[in-house]
Amino acid sequence: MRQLRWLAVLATVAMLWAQQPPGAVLQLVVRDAATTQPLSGATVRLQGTVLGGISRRDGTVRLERIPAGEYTLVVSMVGYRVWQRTLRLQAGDTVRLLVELEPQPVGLVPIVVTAAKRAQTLQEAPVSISAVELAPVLERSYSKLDEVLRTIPGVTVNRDHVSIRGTSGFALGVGSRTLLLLDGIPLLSGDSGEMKFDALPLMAAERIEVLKGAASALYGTAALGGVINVITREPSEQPQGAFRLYGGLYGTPRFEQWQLGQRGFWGADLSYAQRLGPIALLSSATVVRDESYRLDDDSFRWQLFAKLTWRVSPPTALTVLLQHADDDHGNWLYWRSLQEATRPGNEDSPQRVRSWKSLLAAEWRQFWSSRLSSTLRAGAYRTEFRNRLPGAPDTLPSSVAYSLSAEWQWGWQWQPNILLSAGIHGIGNVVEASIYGERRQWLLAAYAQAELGMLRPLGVTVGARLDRERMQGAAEHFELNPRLGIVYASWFGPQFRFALGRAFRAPTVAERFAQLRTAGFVVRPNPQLKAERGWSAELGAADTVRLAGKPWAVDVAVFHSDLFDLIEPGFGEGAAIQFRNVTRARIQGVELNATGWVGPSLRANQPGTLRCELALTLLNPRDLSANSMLKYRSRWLGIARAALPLGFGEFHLEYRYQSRVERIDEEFSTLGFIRHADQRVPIHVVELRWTLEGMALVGLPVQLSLGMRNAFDYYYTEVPGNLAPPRQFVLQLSGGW
Amino acid sequence: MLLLVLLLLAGCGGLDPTVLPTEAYITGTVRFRGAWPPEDSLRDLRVVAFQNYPPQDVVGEVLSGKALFTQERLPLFVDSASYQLRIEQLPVTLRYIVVAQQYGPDLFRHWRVVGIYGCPPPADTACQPDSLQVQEAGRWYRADIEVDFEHLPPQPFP
Repeated sequence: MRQLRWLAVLATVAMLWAQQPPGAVLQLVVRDAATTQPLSGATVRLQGTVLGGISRRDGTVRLERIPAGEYTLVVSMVGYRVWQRTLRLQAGDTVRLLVELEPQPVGLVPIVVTAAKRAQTLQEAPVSISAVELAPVLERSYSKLDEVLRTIPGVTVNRDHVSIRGTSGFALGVGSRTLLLLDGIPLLSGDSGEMKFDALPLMAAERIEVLKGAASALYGTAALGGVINVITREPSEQPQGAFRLYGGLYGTPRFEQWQLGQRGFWGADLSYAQRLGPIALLSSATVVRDESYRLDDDSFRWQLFAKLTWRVSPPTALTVLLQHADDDHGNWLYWRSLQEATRPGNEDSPQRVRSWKSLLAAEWRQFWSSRLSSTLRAGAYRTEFRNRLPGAPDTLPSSVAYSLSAEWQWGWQWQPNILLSAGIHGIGNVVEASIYGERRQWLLAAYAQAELGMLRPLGVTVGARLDRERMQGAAEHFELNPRLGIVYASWFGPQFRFALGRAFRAPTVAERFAQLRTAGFVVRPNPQLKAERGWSAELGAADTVRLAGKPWAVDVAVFHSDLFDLIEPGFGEGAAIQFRNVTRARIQGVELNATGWVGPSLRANQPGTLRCELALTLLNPRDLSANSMLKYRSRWLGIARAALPLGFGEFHLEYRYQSRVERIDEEFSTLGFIRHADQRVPIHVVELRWTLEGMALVGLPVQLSLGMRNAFDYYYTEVPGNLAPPRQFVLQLSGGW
Repeated sequence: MLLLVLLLLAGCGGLDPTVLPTEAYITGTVRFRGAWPPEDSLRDLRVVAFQNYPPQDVVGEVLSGKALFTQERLPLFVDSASYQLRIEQLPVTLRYIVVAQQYGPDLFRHWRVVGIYGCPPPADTACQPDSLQVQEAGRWYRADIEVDFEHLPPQPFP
């Protein structure tokens, strides 16, 4: 009976599609302007509609059933300048176009969506955005978001905390100051406001956008330090399947005290994507087993993801996201001592932690006309964790939380050079936990933004968002977060940008109500917590300069943040931990990025050229309350990356540097929780990788990758009492069709 | 070339369990209350830790290394300041940890105690300073001190 119902739905969909007027047809061939080779994977879209496609292996794209009208056709691809043209189409027309994309410095993602909640070129965004294409990253056997984030300039990861330009420290995994989104849907847990790194479907992702700076004027709570938006792929008409199998071994530590015998890890991923008429499906599955280089720290996890898009009509599309992730891991918290850095020091380490993360979300996108559009977005993100000990009574910490989100966003091209956006947004966190109690937290917001282009080449963005937060047992409050952004395309070359914005983060349920005793720590509630607030400003410039005859993209940004009432865990009476509004902070810094290549070729991916990327961030994160550096921050961050194409593959090298963290919570040591808690050094991590292209060697669409992470077996910590992974040897086979 | 240099750098150092720390640290926050004295009387301001209480010969203990003091002057005209003291000779018991102010030009004579660990202001002569037993290398020990320039504690200096 159920199958019959599904068949009826599909038949209705097919009939609706068949009944639509024939419209126009657009046939494109996309190729490289320098080499005239066809380009596969270019994104083609008609602005103001949901129509679009991805170029095939031969560079062709075909868009059908386009209603008569005037459109802006946009073609974009990583490593090329955006191509745009206005077209007037009549019903029955068949228009053929040759699109030649001009190369630009390697690695630059041309279109971003996070800065303004709409697609725009990177140059239009008045804030710093690092956009990372996922395909090259997945060659590195990464399976969790944090592994990818460590490779992004200005971003550090302190165990569960992502810090953009020094805004976050280490707070036991609670209260992220960076908002995480999956295709625009918030993905922070409802209880602790935490990122669950293993919940993201990296295999289905196209890119990750990292917006740096205050962004509450559009996104509300948690966007104090920035926003991370994971964007999934758009399927093309050609079926696209991909697989990845990898395995690796942890190297034996140089020091006998740390050796535990041979340990390793393996993982497997599968993804499939295809568009069939109005229906597009993207799906992925992941399984990972990690024995870990530390005792009681092993894990097994799996994940399923599906995205279904139905183009109901040219101006209308419905997208549904489904995701589930399951994780079982050891309860490792910190080491026994530096001498026994691979053995746990917390007495409850024999416990295991099981966690589940599920997302159901939908997006209804409607173009009412070529100037008016709306997007209705709703999601329910469920997170659950349970500590367990075989044979022990069921009284260990556990929590079930739902984070519900609904947003209705409107975009109106009022004048040719004035774009207005507005929306209403509601967030509800529903928590039932042994350690937090039964809690409800509600945030309601309205926002508006105007993008003004009357003074071109000057572009101005102004906007504001008003949030109201209510939670049982806590005071209700309002937060007004304005924003100003300016971009200026100068006549002499560089593109300048300026951004000023206010942001806030409402305390999470965990910060206000956590009450537990675990791993020797006692945590006490503090319902009186206020929201964290902050202002941030940035002045940036981007340009393409010629070095040794090759174009290099150079970007420099100077930034300043003033933060108030920062919530930090502190040790109080009886050595109990309590979250408090204690810190007034100021973070200033400079970030420099340069991307380009050296060598004789005109193209970056030709044999003999050396593709390079350099990024350097200098931070001065001051705790003004204590007149000292903020805890868990480094003053210098650096990344140097190089790739050398060899004809049948590529050799990659990456070096990541973080200067020594100057301050930690001394109480870990003074109260005797963690032995040698203060043992920390600068971070120097080198990764080497050699990829072999099966097509060039054996005529098969596969790739073999041999990698060595932390190649120099450098021993360091990111947070107290946690030795980072030693050298690892990784072998990966991946492919697609 | 730059990458080669970085590679060489990466091969150096790192944590080493065979080189265990031999020193310990005292850390804490100095909280200031009351009106600050004029800037020309704040020639120096440091945390000093003595093994004896009361110190027999303040200047002599400092010069002989029996008393420890912070390497830099504490910041002035602030609400609070954090400090660190590195202790290499272990174990040791520090019986008198103070914030000391140099108020005049004479480096050996113009000092006064403005805050004592274990004697929050207003402290009288009956107050017994807290002792700190520093025994374990690699460990941090906590000693917060309160200073009220308008209610100075009893002075050990002649």
